[in-house]
Amino acid sequence: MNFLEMRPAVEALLPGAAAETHETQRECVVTVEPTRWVETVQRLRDDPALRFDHLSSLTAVDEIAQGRFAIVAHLWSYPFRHALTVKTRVPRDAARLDTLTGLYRSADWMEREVYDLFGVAFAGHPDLRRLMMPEDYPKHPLRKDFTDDGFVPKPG
Amino acid sequence: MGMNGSPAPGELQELERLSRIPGYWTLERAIEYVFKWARKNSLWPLQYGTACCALEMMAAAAGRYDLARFGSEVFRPSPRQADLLIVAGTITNKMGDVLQRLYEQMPKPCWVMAMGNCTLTGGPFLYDSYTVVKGVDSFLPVDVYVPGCPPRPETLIHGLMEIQRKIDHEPMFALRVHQRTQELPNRERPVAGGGA
Repeated sequence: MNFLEMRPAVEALLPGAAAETHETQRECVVTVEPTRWVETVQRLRDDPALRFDHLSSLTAVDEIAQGRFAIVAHLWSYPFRHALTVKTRVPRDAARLDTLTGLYRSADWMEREVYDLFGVAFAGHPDLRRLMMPEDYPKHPLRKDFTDDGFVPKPG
Repeated sequence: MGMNGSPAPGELQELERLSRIPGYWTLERAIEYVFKWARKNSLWPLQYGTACCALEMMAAAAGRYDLARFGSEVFRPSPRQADLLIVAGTITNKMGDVLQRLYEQMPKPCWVMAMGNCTLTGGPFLYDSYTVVKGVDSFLPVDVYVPGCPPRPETLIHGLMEIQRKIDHEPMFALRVHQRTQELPNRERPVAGGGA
């Protein structure tokens, strides 16, 4: 299924969710409410026509101007060899989201990474510790307003 | 033992007592000559490399450049058997704690060479980096700085020869004082398992 066929299929499966297609990236993006995050991904995974059995990436974008984080998951289907991008948005000051570890084991470290670098807490995660920064590090360095002792911003 | 390099209690009196022995200074110079000759010609580097500089270090140790010509081919995997720390590669804040621990485990006297731009200033990771140490001399007493990204093996060999020159020129018995002046305050270390 290519990205153009993906859009009606996803919209039929997820009533009320906003799907869009990007010609240049050749991808289909579906945006959902954070409350329906896990349910959405589960339906996409279990649908016999889509079968997204692989979470290839989970990351976040700091949309500081809008005061929110976009959480972005890239799904891939091994049997059908097609991809889908699932997005949700959580407020920066209450950055919480349910975990996908119940659906994909690979979500474990990806969510730890997002927690480490953005400070998004994943509710229900089995082992939510920092992945890369030192254990006692107090900050989240990929936030746009990050600064620290000895941090040298690039001039210009 | 103070951090400012002041002599330990009784050390000055000890030196005064020794200097009254006839021929003491001649003997000390002779001992110094032999010790320095041995030290500078058998520097055992710690087998420690974190980035592309480590590849140049390996190249320097391999046949074409042959670090063995300078008596420095025995790369030791344990800091307790090494007396030269070549910091070859980018040091992150997390690795910095490990590196300092390695340095503290090396028997003194030992020497430190900062190899490559990352270890001198942070190098290409100076700007916008939240992980890289901006110069390992913030927590290690660096003897020789070897710039380059990465330095060619010739440069590393030059750095090694500079360390040999330094060993030759440092008064050995004053080295006890010298080492003490280089004690630096401990880096703050993260406590393993601490909450984030």
